[in-house]
Amino acid sequence: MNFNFNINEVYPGSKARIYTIRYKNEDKSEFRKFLEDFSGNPEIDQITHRLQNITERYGLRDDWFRQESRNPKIGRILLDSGLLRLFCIRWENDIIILGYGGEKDPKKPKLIDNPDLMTIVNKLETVYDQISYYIKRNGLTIREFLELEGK
Amino acid sequence: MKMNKSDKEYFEELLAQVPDDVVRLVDHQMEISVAIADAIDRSKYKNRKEFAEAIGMKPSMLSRILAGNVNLTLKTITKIESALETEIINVNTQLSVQEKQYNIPPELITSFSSYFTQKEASLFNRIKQYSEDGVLISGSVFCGVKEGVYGNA
Repeated sequence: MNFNFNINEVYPGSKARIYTIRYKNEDKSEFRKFLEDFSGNPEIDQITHRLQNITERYGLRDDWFRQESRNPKIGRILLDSGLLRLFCIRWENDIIILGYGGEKDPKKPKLIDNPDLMTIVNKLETVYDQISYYIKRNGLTIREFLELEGK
Repeated sequence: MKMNKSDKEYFEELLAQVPDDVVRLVDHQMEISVAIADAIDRSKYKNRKEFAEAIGMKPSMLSRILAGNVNLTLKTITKIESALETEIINVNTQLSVQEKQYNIPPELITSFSSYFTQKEASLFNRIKQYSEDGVLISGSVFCGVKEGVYGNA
């Protein structure tokens, strides 16, 4: 596998498994950077516990995910009505690959008007395309790919 | 936090630090949203849009509720329950305020367990569980039934 990223496992729950992306030129994973960069934000506690419930109790139901790209697999975890966004790639209801996130400008409700957030979404689209191409070319399922990669 | 922690260890550490009120809030939000979504699926309504219209709610508002992003009032929950003919929330009111005035030590309850009928024993077990959970317990019901036993102890 010759990607410019690795996939790290974050939380292996019984209903869903969470992974994150770590780019090879970065010390930390995208989700780790997100948690650290927004550690003072009160929404972080909600995000972490919501993710725990998704992995342990429910899986990622459609209602808790909002598509943010032309690719229906790319979106964000829906949170309480704040401004913080956490973007992810979703495979079915039980595999979530977390990327980075950020705060939306309250004066710019559309994602496309928030260039920093759009950059994150675009990077996730690239990661998705690379993984999809790789697993298709090698006849793997996403789970088999993550077994090999997501450690 | 140390830099050498794995993402998994770091995340688990954060999970352990989430305040209890946030845990409860998120749990309630998600439990209620799942309960409503599942009840709509089982209901007479063809889809969510039809249900939203039936209760005079915008579909976008219903989506926010199902995302667990709305601080619902009891009035709204009741309206949803009524339209879906189901119970969305269930508050445990088995022990009344009057019953809670008795505070009987668990060891005392255990010593009386052999005097109970099967029905009373079931109640006893429930009360014992409350006491094991560290909650102020009620002895009023079985004390009333077994007043003589309690009085002679």
